[in-house]
Amino acid sequence: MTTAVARAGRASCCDDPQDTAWGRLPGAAPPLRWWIPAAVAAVVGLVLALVVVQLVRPPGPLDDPDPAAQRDGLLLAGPALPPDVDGADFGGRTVVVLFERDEPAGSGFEAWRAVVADDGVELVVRVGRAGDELARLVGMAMPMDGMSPVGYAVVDASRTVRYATLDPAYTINAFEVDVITGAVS
Amino acid sequence: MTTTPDRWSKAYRPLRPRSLAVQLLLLLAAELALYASYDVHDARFHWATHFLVALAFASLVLLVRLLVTGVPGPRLLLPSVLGFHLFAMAPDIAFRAGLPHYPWMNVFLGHIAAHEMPGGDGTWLVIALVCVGLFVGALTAWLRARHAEAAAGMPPGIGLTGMAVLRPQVDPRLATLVHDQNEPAAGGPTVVLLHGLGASSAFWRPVAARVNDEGNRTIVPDLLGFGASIRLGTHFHLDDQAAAVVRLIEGHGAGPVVLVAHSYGAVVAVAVAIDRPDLVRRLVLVAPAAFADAAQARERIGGRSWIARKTMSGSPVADVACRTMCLLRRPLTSLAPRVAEQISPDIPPDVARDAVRYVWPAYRDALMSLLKDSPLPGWLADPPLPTTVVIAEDDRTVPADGLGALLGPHIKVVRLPGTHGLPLERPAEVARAILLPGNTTVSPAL
Repeated sequence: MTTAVARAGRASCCDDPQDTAWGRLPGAAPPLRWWIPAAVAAVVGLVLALVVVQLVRPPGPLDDPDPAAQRDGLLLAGPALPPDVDGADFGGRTVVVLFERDEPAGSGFEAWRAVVADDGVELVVRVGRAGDELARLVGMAMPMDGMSPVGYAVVDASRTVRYATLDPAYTINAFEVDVITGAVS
Repeated sequence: MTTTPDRWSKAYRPLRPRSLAVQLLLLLAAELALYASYDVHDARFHWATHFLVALAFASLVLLVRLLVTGVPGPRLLLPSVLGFHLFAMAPDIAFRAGLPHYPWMNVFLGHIAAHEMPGGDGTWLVIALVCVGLFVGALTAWLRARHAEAAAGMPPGIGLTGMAVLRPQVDPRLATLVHDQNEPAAGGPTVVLLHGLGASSAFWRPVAARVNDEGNRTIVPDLLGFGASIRLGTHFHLDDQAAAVVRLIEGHGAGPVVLVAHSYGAVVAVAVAIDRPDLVRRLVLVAPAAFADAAQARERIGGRSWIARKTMSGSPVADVACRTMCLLRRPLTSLAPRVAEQISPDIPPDVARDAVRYVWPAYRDALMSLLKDSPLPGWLADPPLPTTVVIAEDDRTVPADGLGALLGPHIKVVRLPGTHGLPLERPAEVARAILLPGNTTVSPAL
């Protein structure tokens, strides 16, 4: 027994004009040369890689060492605070605690405060080392430089910490605080 | 035909260069707008994470789609990346509407967990580029294969899956069907044996060996798209199968031959005899797939096989299932003999293996030819050439009574106990029936 693949001559194959015409019919070949997708993908991939490399930067001195933990938008069921911490009262209403290194001021901050406090939310500001105890209790992360945090925490009416994040650019992200306070109020 | 020019146009539609260029520009513009929307809130890396995740996921979806369906798509190829990106960033849109993030939002392509990836966006970039590379590599191979087929004068293998996505099919006018060839000890006639649906030359080997022992040359091909001929051809219509068999016979200078066929192979054999009666001495049809009409064919074949039933009804389920099988052909061909050994030890391993070794369009077109353009009933009613029909008395696919009712007075009939797989069950008796020269009814004792 043999298994064979016999080769037939081209001459015996082409009696039917339809047979030879298939490949020459309009549209038989794809409208795209085979190398074009590969070339375009290579160029776009290179550009994308350059863009991402530009975007991927190490965390700054005020940022969270874990970028995924900064401004993640996730509501916490965090620890419950005592009714009074370093002169700040908790319970009965939502409180936003802002941690800063310098006394916040300027139009950016005023605009941010206006958004945060527009629905009965109380704002508590702690500057520098004065906020260390409260920062520890709400679970604020230590920034890259190991100094006091810049960011905020949201504590609901039952004194539970629902959100805590470092955010050196918090003034341009007022809507984020508003979403969190709106969800817990 | 398997594919017609209007289907080529539909399959190639996603690849029109002008359309792709417009799609690319739209995608870039939309992504720039999205990037800007994240940038104003100092969240550029969020844009990168979700875009890269979406790009990787879209590439994998498009890759699987290409491998399973055998055609690139969808029509709007590049905007599908934007669609996946919008899906991935949906929680951010909801956030702007006042809904904080929750862990369940990982259903949006891991919206929360994606940020936990070690290495962050750098890792996602590598993953995305690898996924894009896999898709583009497969698409490139598909394009090369279709270009090569068109250049060879073949219709493009639209819808061919499995390895046919990566390699061009071989022109059946340039390479004959792969076949077993047994040279005789004596100078008897040439006997060509054609297999049925979902089978190969392996199905006939026990019979062919006995026919050969009697001094006859035997040629047992794998039909186009089946068995070892899996890479032959891009069209698998009845005309194409018959032409391939004619070329095989002519290539061997073998005509006129005794043409033996089982089940669906009988349809091909009759098509050969009608097309080239000079090449056929006589026909022996074993359990031929002959039905009174399409409805009966649907009932009989569909009743025996779920996949056949779905295929004949045009169900997309059959399409997806069979194309997936083509994609998994290599492991399935390894697995099939072991499964067959457990279920039915009498089935030879090579027969079990070749039961899953075919391209989906070949199976589908073979099945459809039983419904639409089978010349078998007409031939059996009044055969122009000497024809013997071997009836399996316990055949449930082609019941003896139904088949007997289709046979004209000039058909030689042999009845044997057995089922549709008669050549495997009773190779000696079938071989004897093939070699019987006269109008003889063979008793079961033979």
